[in-house]
Amino acid sequence: MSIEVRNISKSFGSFRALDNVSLHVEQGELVSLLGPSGSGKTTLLRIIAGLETPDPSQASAVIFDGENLTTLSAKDRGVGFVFQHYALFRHMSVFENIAFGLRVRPKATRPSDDVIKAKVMELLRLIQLENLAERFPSQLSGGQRQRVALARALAIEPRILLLDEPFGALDAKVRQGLRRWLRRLHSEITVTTVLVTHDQDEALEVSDRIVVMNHGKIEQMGTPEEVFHKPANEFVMDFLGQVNLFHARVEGQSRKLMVRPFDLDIVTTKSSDSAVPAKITRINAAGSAVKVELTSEAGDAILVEIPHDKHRGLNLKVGDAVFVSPRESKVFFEDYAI
Amino acid sequence: MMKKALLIGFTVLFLGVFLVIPLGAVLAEAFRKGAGAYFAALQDREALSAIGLTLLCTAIAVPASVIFGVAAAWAVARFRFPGKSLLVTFIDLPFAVSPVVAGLVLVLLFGMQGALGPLMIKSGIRVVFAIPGIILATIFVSFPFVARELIPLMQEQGDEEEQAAMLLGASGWQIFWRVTVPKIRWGILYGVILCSARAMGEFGAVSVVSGHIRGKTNTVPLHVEILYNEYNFVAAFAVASLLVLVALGTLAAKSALEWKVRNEH
Repeated sequence: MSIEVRNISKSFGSFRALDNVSLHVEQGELVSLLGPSGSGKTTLLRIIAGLETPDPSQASAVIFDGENLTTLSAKDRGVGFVFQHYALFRHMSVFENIAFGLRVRPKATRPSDDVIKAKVMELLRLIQLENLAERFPSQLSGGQRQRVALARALAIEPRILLLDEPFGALDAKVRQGLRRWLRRLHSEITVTTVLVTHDQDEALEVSDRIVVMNHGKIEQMGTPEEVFHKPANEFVMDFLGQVNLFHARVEGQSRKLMVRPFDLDIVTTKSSDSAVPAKITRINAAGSAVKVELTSEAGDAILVEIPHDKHRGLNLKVGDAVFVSPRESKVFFEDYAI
Repeated sequence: MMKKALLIGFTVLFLGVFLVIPLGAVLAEAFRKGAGAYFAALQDREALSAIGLTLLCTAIAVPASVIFGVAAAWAVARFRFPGKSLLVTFIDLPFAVSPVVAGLVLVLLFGMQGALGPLMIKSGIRVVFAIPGIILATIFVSFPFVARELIPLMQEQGDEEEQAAMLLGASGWQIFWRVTVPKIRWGILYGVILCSARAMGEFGAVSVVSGHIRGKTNTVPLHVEILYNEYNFVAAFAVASLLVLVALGTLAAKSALEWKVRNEH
């Protein structure tokens, strides 16, 4: 099921949450809406679900597979929705939570109890919680609750799956496990999925495509590689990871130079014109790369990430005077601010 | 240690003087002429009529409080509208105003000289000095209890579960019965207990509109007063002991419910 969002705007009082946003999600894709809080990503998701209505406009529309749903109630859209804080029915067992969407169907289309039971057990196997069917939500961990919420959303065989910061309330370790699990699950059941997150690592890891949003507008759409390596603008570059900002004069003009920490190198002798003298202020060797913090002569803070073997070879210490030089890949931007 | 003992001792003494001794005195007085006189006082025709009227008022006032409470709490917790905080303030009015004033307002409205008096005379419906007035007075003093329990509860719980239910295809009615009511059921019950206690015990507002017609417009508290004024102490205290029983039952039910809710979470 493909999703098409056309010219959607939404204001809350004087606050413009979405400003004429259009978006297309292909059948079977997993697309992330990524942005800081207040960027409009959750509002957009809730408009797709039918929980919010867009500002009235002739041009605006929400379309599933060519069917215009703009005026259809959330009840009838057949959307699977997972909330950040799970929103499980606290007075129902895990089993009844998952069965809810089937039990509330009108008599004519409601499956028999046996069919419901088989379906719920199948979903419990999918989320690996078969033996917790009779538990209540308050007796589950956060990660387990979120898996139940996902199973509940999948029980109605939704046309599309919408996830609102699904792992936002979980701790880092559980979050990582669930991310990979979601990715595997998505390749098994291939339901068109839109995920809202403010966590760039999460978006980069699970998505087929990422939509970067800011101030109610889409800044860039593309694969994780595209948005990470070819950011369309300064905001995207900054939001998708740490960057070092340098002011440089290129051909007589003032330019901003943005470089990721792993695109910088540390050398002990001035190897080229672009090498900048700096002093090491902190070394953190915990992690997959060694993070070296430096201060340039101009007083700017610089962060460089170098591999462990390189770090051992250079024998760096806090206080050392070294040079920071960019590797071949670097990103320039016109300095439109000045 | 000293301070602790003093504080506890003072509290116990205070409660003893102002609560336990009077309650004991009610029972002692009620049984002063033996169990026979006690039960005779309760089986008196006028006493039974007063009990019946009190139960009738409660049976009407409590559902009214539940329906109003759920509707008001839903409106306040789920929607934004102008005048919301004013509405919440007005819900507290029956607690703030003296019940006597509430009774007088009913007399002013529905009495013979009142604003709606001519209409009342024409239609032949008697409100003041009749059962409808007593019921209205009881509703007035007891309606806020359920709303006051539910408003903070529903505000705290939010409506994500209801949204989830809607997205799963549930109709408004299904959402209300299967999701909202189970979420707030203990709050409703708590409100019902307090509301019942107030409805049964109300004196001031009812006294103004009742007219004290024996066997007709007397509720239990009014009946107690009449018996007392007639120096019929045994009967007065026997009937009063019913109200004490209601109070103790209310406290027990309230504690049991609080214990249950605490252990559920």
